[in-house]
Amino acid sequence: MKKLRFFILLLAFMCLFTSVAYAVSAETLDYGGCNIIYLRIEGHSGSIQNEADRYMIENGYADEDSIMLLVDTREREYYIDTSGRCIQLFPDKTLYRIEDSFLPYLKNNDWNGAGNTFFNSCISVIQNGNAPSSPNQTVIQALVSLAAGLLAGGLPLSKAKKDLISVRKKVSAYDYERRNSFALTRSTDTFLTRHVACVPIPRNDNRSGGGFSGSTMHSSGGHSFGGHGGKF
Amino acid sequence: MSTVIEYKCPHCGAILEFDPSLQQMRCPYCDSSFSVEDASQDVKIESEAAELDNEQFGSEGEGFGLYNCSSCGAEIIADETTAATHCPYCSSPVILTGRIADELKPDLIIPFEVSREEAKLALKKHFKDKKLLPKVFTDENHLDEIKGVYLPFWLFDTEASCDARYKTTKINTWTDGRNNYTETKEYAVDRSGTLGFDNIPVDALKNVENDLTESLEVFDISKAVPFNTAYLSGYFANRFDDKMEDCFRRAKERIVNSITSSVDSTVTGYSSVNRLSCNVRLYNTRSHYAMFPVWILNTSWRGQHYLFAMNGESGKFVGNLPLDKGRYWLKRIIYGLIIAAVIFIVWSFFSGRLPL
Repeated sequence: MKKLRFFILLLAFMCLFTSVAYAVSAETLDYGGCNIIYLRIEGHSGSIQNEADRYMIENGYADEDSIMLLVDTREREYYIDTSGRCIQLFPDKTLYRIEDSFLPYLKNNDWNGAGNTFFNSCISVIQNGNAPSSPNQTVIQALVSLAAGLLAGGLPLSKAKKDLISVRKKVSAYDYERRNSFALTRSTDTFLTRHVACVPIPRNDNRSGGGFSGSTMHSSGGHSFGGHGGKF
Repeated sequence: MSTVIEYKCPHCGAILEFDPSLQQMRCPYCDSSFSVEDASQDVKIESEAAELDNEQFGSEGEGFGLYNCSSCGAEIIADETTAATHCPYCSSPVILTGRIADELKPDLIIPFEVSREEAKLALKKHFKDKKLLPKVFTDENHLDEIKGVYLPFWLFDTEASCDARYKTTKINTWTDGRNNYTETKEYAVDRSGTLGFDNIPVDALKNVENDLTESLEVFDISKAVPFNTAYLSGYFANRFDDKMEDCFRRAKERIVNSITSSVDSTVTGYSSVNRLSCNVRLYNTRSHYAMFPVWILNTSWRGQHYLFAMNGESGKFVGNLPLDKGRYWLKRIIYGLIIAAVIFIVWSFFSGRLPL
């Protein structure tokens, strides 16, 4: 009996001090043959990537075309997990932009706003094969394009402007050089020093191999996933 | 005392002028023509002229000369550089030999080959196909004056030698699969060379900018002839007021650039070349004094004066034109917006935001 009581007590302590994932809410949408999942949890064990993979495998999403946003509201971490066709459909740069669109909501603890933005972004990508940009990014891109355009706008006019100016000083006396009079009287080339710089070639540890255009991949439980995550 | 020369037509007594199309002296009234040599011997009339009375004009009159026009008797006041001019009353050509005699006499002269009419046509042609020239400029600007002027030039012949030192590098790269290697070899390179120059012109009038006369180059020196005052008849001419030594400085600048460029071009086969020093010496330098033909055209538009010039031998025409600022900025904004739109679309495409 004593041993049993000790075992129960130990189990209670383990439950108390071990962070176990607790799903607060899960929303799922099937759009264009893809599962779009938004899952909120409060705490998790291991890495958030493993937690996302585990959920995808246990719920059968890992075998289908799926994208899931997992948000841990307590640890203030998030992870976007992709599987199947969604790995190619959502490459890293697309995931970064989707992140940019919902991160402001996460930072303000607007969990529903983040979810809605995530769903809209994913739908947009599935519709067009692209992700919408955050408003800030679009404005910056537009302003930079405008500035570059206005600067470059003078280039097509430079010849027309130059045509108006025909009075210029001559730089050289090339027109008055005596023909074939140039004589090279000395020509010496003396070697001074030799220096060799050695730079190691960076190794590519990307498991996806060369030529893959999807997101950065990892494997879990015999399934392949793509994805990206971070803290907010 | 100075001398005034006029070339009078033996048939009608009018003043002969040098005709660029005939390359002869021609009477504008009876159309008689004479070779320059004949005119110099047979129809040249010299008369004495008095220097300006400084007591009458004060210090402002210093260097000016007072001459009598032999056609109408009017008094002509000319500054110290004027060698040929026209009577302001009867427009008769007057040549003031005191300004081009003895040591002031040019060695060579290139006679006018381009006529006044051709210069006027060249001005109109100069306005064509200028997209940013104000459209009203062509219609509204007025040709105030067109003058055929013999400008004084110093011509320089010289030999130049150049000793230059360079620091150069050769860069070689390779890889063994694990590392990238960059080998840099440094060299000290020395080059020396000589180059000859003939007839580098530098204008010898202080109030004429070098950039204007240099823009008119090249004057074909093979068309130069020994100086003869007959070529000045009907044109304006000035003697030099910029000393040969001062003008040589400008010629030297161009010579140094030329020979340095020639020597630089012999340093080949290197990844980078950096010139450390360059020493140019000039020797066997000779100078000539010459007069070159230039048509000067003055126009005005909206209170601004515009100066144009034409090489009287080759027909090369130069002169800065005004910019239509309104049209320039409108076009620049339109082009800018188009380019901005293209940049935005291409940027969006490459960042995966547009399904192109």
